[in-house]
This record gives sequence, structure tokens and C-alpha cells, in this order.
Amino acid sequence: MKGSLLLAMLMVAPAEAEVRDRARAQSVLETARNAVKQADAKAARREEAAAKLKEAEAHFQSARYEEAAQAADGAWKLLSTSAASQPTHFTVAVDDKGSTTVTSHSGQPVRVEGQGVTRSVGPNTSMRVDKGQPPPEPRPLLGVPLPTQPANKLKLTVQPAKGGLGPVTLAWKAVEGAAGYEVELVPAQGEKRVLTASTAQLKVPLPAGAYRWSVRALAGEVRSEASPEHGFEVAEAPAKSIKLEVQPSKWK
Amino acid sequence: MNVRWSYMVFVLALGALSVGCPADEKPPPPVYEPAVPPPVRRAQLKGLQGDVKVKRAAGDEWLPAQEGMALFENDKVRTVAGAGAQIVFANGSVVNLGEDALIGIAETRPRPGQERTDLTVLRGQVNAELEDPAKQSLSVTTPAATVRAGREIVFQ
Repeated sequence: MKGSLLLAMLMVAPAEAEVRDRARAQSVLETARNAVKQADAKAARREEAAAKLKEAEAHFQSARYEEAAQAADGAWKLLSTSAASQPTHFTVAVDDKGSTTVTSHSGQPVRVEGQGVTRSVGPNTSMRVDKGQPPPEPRPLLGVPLPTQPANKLKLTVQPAKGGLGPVTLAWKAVEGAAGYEVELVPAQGEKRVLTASTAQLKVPLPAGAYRWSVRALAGEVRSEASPEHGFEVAEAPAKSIKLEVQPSKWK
Repeated sequence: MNVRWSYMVFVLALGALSVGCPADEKPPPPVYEPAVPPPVRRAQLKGLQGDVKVKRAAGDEWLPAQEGMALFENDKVRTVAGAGAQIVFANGSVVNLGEDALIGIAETRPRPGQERTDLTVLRGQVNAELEDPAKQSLSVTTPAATVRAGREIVFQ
């Protein structure tokens, strides 16, 4: 019994090592393929890197995974000198359902793996991966809307209206590719409100008080970064004086 | 005669002494405690803002984080709303932890069937920066994907 278990373990161990080596080689190959694909056709060492990559692919096909990984790494190194000199900056955000948004801001592309699929996310692109799903194609990042109205720290005097004062118009610079916008409005007293708009402005009646607000662009499941926060104050306009003229009565 | 009695008393006394300490009794075996490898220091906590807590791999309690605190494999870090922290890994890569986040420091040696990773993000947002991606690497695992940046493998 013990002998057969030992034999089974001895048979499984090399298989596990091979699976691990294969996965590692595959990952390095994917990185090298992306580097060659994204390299400028006139790049000094592109041809050399492509040849090295070809060599790595051949090793991989022959199940020489260690050699494949080494050759692919060599191809990556040949092309990465310029990109690698820049710092790589990226963001990973996980929501309550475990869905993950990966955004690359600068430097080298990052690799996103899920369900046996690897995709590359280059600078200024983003991708959202749902649990149990392979990573989709990355999308270009949405620009950040810039608030234009009311001017930052402006004190507004507005007439009473239904639901508060105003309405107050919040406006921002439209973003290319945006399907809508999300405005976050935070009163100095009270709860934060999240409002949506389909154009680059929003009219909202507000009670008197101080507010801070920011806006982000939306396109499907892609959300831009939030704009810088602006503030404004709302006060009720003083009532207009009414001139009353009382005529002397003709009655005596 | 006296000599004989003295000899007998001496022998009896020796016998009585040996009752309390039998020759064939073995000393109790030494207690060997299993060798526990020391925890591997993987990163350091810096730039603390607001309420940041750390749970050690061996503990159940969330402890208040401290500036410069060492982080070991399987430790967890959590931030609340408005809080933040910076995690600096031994290879120099830096991860900024946003508010309302929960992360785990990964083990140095991956378990069978698992890829190597540095950080597990369970909730919230992290901003990562690799100053020298030709020499550094960072791997972030989430419930949905694994994100790798920098050099894939640093060959010897």
C-alpha cells in the first residue's frame, strides 16, 4: 500500500514540475511576443529579438521549457532597454464581487492572467476582469473631465426653486469616448450624493450651504479617474424690494 | 568483626541508596520541539494615514499599524475609509494602498500548483510603481486575475 503511494507520488512530482516549467515558459514567451509586437519596426535590435523569440518558440514546441524561457527572456531584454528605463506605474482595483480593474499608466505593459489566458495591458489602457472569466481586450483609458462651472470656491446667490435653490448648473469639459458622467456632490453638512448625466452638464436644485464636487467619465464598464475636486457655496438671493405707493384717498 | 559489621552496614547503605535511583532507569527523553522556520520579512509599511491595521500570520488580532513596521509572509493589512499606506518590498517596488482595502502579503515560496505572487488584493485599490522594471518585478493576485509587471524571471 505504502509502496504504491510512494510510486504514485514519484510519478506525480515530475509531472507537476513540468506543468510549472511549461506555465512559466508560456508566461515569459507571452511577454516576449508582446515586446516584439509592440517594438518599432525600425528598432535597432528588433530583428535580433525576433530571431531570439523564434528560437524560444522552437524550444517550447520541443517541450524544452527551461531553454524556451531563457531564450524568450533574452528577446525581451533586447527590446526592453528603452521601455525598461521608465518606471512602470499601474493600478489594480478589486470591487466587492471580486471583479478586478487593471489600469496601466506608464512604462512597460503589465500582464494579466486569468483562466489560462494572458493579455497585455499597455500604458493608458485598462481592463476589467470578472471572477471566473478570462481577461478581455484592454480598452483605451477615458480622459478625466475638468470642471468649468461654477468656478472653484465661487459663492452663488440663487432664487428659491422647487427642491431647494437654483437650480445650480454644474458643467465640465466633455471627454472623447464618454457615454456619460458621474458627479459626486458632497455637502459640508449631510450625505454625499452621486448623480449621473448624459451630457457635460447637470442642473441640480440645492439647499443653501457649502459643497464640494468632482466628476468622472463613463463608457460602459470603464470609469475615468475622478476630476480634481472643486467647491462652491449656495446662498438664497435677498428678496427684491417692492416699491409701494399709497395714493391719498378721495374719500373724506 | 567490627570491620565485617562496618562493611555490611556500608553495603546495606549503598543498597538503600540505589533503591531511590535504580541503575536500569533511563533519564527522561529530551523534548524536541518541531523546528519552525523564522518568518521571512518581505516588505515594510510606510506613509501611514488614518486607521491602518495589521494581522500577523500567526495571530487572530488586528493590531494598529506602525510606521516602518516589517511585514512577513501571510500577514494582512487593512485600511478604513480615508486611510492609506505604502508597502515597500525588499526589491524596491512600491505599492500604495488606498482606502477601504484588504491585502495579504504572499508567501515567498509558492505552494504546488500556484504561481509566485507578492501581494494578494482582496478588496480596494493599490497603485504600484516599479522604478527599475528591468530588474524589479511585482505580481499581484486578486480573486479574478494575476497581474504581473516588470521582468518576468530574473535568471541567475
